[in-house]
Amino acid sequence: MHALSWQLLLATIAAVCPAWAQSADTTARRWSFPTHIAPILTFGGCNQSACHGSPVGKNGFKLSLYASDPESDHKVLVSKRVNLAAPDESLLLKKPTMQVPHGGGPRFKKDSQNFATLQAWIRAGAPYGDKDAPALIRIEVSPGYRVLSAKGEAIQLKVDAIFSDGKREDVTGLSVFSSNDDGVIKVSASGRATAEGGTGDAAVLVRYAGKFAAPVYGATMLKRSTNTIAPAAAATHPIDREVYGKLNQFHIAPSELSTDEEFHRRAYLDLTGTLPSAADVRQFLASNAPGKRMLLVDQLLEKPEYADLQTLVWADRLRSDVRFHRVGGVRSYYRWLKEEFLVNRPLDGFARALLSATGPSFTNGAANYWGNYDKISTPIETAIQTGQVFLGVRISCAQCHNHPFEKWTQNDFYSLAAVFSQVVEFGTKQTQEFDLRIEPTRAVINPATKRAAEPRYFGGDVIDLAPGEDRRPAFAKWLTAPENPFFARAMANQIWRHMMGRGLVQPVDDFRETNPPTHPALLDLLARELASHKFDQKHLIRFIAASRAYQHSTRSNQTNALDFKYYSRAYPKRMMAEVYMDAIAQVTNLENKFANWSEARRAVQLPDNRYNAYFLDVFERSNRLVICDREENVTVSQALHFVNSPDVQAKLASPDSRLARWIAAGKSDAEILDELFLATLSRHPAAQEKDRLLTRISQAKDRKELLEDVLWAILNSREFIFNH
Amino acid sequence: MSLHTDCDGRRRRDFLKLGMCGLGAMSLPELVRAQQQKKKDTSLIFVWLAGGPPQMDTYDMKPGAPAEIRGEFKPISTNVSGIQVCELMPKTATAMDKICVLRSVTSVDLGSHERSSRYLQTGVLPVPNMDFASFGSVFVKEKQFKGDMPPFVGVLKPVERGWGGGFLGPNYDPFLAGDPNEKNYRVRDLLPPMGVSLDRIGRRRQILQEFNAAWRAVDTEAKLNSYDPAVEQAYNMVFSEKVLKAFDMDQEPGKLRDAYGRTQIGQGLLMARRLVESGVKAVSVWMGGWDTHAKNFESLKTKLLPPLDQGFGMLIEDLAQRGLLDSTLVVQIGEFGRTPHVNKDAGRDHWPKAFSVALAGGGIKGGQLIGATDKHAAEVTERPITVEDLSATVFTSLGVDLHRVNHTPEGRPIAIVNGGKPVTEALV
Repeated sequence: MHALSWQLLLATIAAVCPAWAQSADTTARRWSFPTHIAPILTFGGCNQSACHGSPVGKNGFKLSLYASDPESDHKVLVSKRVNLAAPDESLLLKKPTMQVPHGGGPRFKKDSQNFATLQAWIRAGAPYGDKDAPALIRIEVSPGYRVLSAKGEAIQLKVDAIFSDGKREDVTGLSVFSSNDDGVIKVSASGRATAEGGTGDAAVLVRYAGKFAAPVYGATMLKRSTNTIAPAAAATHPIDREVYGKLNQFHIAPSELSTDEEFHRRAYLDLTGTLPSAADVRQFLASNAPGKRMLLVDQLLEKPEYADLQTLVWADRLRSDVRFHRVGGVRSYYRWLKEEFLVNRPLDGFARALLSATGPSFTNGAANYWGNYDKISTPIETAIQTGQVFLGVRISCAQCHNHPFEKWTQNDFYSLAAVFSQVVEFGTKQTQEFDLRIEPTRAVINPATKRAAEPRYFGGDVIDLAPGEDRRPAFAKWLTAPENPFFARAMANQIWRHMMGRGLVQPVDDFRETNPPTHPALLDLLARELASHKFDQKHLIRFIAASRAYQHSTRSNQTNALDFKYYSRAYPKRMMAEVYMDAIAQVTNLENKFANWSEARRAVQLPDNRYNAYFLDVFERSNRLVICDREENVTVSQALHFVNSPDVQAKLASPDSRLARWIAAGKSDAEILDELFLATLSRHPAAQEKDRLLTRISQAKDRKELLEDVLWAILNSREFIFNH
Repeated sequence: MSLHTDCDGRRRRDFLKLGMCGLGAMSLPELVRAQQQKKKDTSLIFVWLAGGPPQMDTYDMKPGAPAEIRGEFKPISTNVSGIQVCELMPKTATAMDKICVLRSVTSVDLGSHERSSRYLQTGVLPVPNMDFASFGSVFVKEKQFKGDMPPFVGVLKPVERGWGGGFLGPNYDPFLAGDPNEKNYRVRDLLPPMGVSLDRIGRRRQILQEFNAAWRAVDTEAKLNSYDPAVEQAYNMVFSEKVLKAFDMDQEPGKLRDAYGRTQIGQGLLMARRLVESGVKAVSVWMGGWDTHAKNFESLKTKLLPPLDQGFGMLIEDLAQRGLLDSTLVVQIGEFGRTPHVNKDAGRDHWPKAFSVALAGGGIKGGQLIGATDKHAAEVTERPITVEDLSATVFTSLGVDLHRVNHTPEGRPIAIVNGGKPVTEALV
């Protein structure tokens, strides 16, 4: 390159980026590969997982994912892509500018600042840089949180790199930006964040030189009004103060409270997984007792059905599975879980019991946490499971590489696995039951270091015990200490999710800096409430149930129809498959029978998650192969099943069903409709719908068939299937 | 409407897409374009041999190998000079000019049927905490086929994981059609139950619609509205003569049913042909029993090869006769091959290193062998084909963009093919 154009280049750089111009002679600057060159590769997309950052690289050239390993990247570049003798011939310059064929297409323009930097660096000998140069500690993004208030309104983000010598450098131009909700906030490559027309918060993920930050910004298309301010000002419950405070920021008005009918049915389903009977509904509606809603909650929490439902919920999380744990194992697992919830075992004790369990698995249900297919789960499997269930962290990615957007490294992963490495099998295989013992010196090899991984409290110190001691109780004690940063929040978040339909962190096992809670202060509040009340789950349930946020109607108003995250209204939750199956049995008064499972009179109580019941499959009972929320898909198979299933029809037409009995008892059309609505929808029919149905019945050739058809329609209706 | 990247948002995006593809009339230009699309659209019949069929007892015979490797069967000629297959596959031998055998497919040892099944049914190495989507699921998601028939149907019983929509969701699972060889075969839930006429089905639907309409006035939750497309499809199927006929095996002449063989796989493959003919775009047919760790030769001779050979050979012939072969990609495949050395139980064990996959139809150049193994059918010696290459080949034949990326509910991008290259020698 000629001297003249070289000067032009410097002048351009100086004009565009004053910080760079400070060292006008770029050959003499203190180059640092990790902070000056690696970010360019990230910015250009070179090291993303679809390209050279993939586990096998691309075209023989492999970089670390998002520049997580700059030392290795530097070695690779210097040996394969840099030509020190003839810098302009370097593939690092020619490929991304398409001077030679490049599968990844053009990544930089020849006249761009980034290209110039790469070129200058190669000319300077492609140094790694001074190992004593100040290290990059973190990045900071400004401005702080604010809510944009019109579509198209934008703010320019600024990214500062903070170094170990205290210096700050503006690195906005080399940072990579993305939003987790483009419909609310879209962010350009240059860091300009624009409101796109949606209302809510969005987290903007900012990456530079292996560091990241996830500042949150909001946007609203609604205008301030008294509908939003008044409820916030009047809120007394701590949950409502947080929820309404947030809604206020967006000028979203909360819905009104649910009716007694709605609250009654909702509480029954949320707390017991059963419907109220018609008599229950009549009694609740007629009652004038002050605080009757909370009285109802107290009553429901004491029913054994509460324990059954919690058993099902936890069996899903723990992935109790008849293939992995065998008939004897799931039986004992369910028995153990139910007992825990019948006595309302505090959640810390519950976790400690699981984590320190001893076998054998058919006798001590908690032991099933440790095994599958008649043998002990590997430490890796247990680490992944423990992470998701009790820490709220999905660390399985870290098994093979450092987590791209989270601080957890491969070392963290193996140090967690090492906590569980002592657990080995004990006993014979013949009976399908397994038992466990501690083999104190057994270790897990970290493939990155090729040495035994040190067992650590997750994200913390090495677990240092007397030789031969079982590490699990120590780990469990650390986990369940009230100040532990993971446990209380993970548990509170799961309980919130169960009641409200969505976790403050969603998915509930995916706590990440780049997946922030929608209401951080509220999450902390709930965690503190749980931890400071002996981890009593019922206490937290009551605490949540007493809030307006829980008691909102699902009916939307003009401002909140599109709110899916901020609890301005209640979110309808589809009944779980087992609950739905039980509800149909309850309504028709025809119990289901489960062959070989006499302890299960309702589907919710069935320990065999693979019991041959098509209804349960088609309505998406959890497959327990992965830990995740049940989906609420609607499929053709479901619809067909309800339309044509002989089993459903048998229940509808059975002479022993409740409907048949009403008809046989000579009840009038109006009486039957009333009973039907109370038993299914937990309310009286409204005048208009009652008239419409009475007309149909009176015009029908076959009264019984028409009533069956009405029942069919109700059982298939959204109002029935959804908990609202 | 904001597009959330969590579970809720994904379903709403799907809703918008499904909601906009109505079942109403098309304009003339659209109709013409649709016809042109029809000509180009290839269908898929994916014949899955669960357990892993032995390459040296089917397509890759090694008559010169020592007895403890070559096994009990001899090769026979086919209608392509130079190509031989196992003597137990005479019907396949008459269709060899239409079949292309990839003999050098090579996978990795994943330690279990489950993991290998997931790998070979999806083309993607399995990971512990999520399921990838099968070839059929990816295909129908890409093309978004509309019509009365479900776009993706599964015949007989699926085995292991990997056969469904995975992270794409159950709407991309195959519609399960059961076992057409059963006496009184009916597809589950397609016909009304006894005592319920179609009129009554219609009346029930009306009453239900009244309930749901009243409810929609109260709650605009998009989640609830997403019920409609699947429900619409279900009713269309129930009320459609065409759909009911397509699943009615009695519509097939008895002689043809005999020609395919009155076996599960025979009738299953016949059903696959019927379905493709009626507009289904992807059919998976599952056949179990191939995991012959013991009594390999006895099982192959008495239970496995004769029914498969008869049905498969007949399928190719039948498709060709009806002019459907060019527009139907047929794949015959298992999760791995089997060990060259016969074990002490006269069986063969798992062998992912080298095995065969047979392709026909859909732009495949028949009558050829691609790739080769050594004299024991143990190692690939020529033209290795990875599972990813196989995946690329299948998608190329089906007209799916190899660079397609789908997203999990959390927004994680998943490429459908991880670096595989299509086996161009196999394609016309």
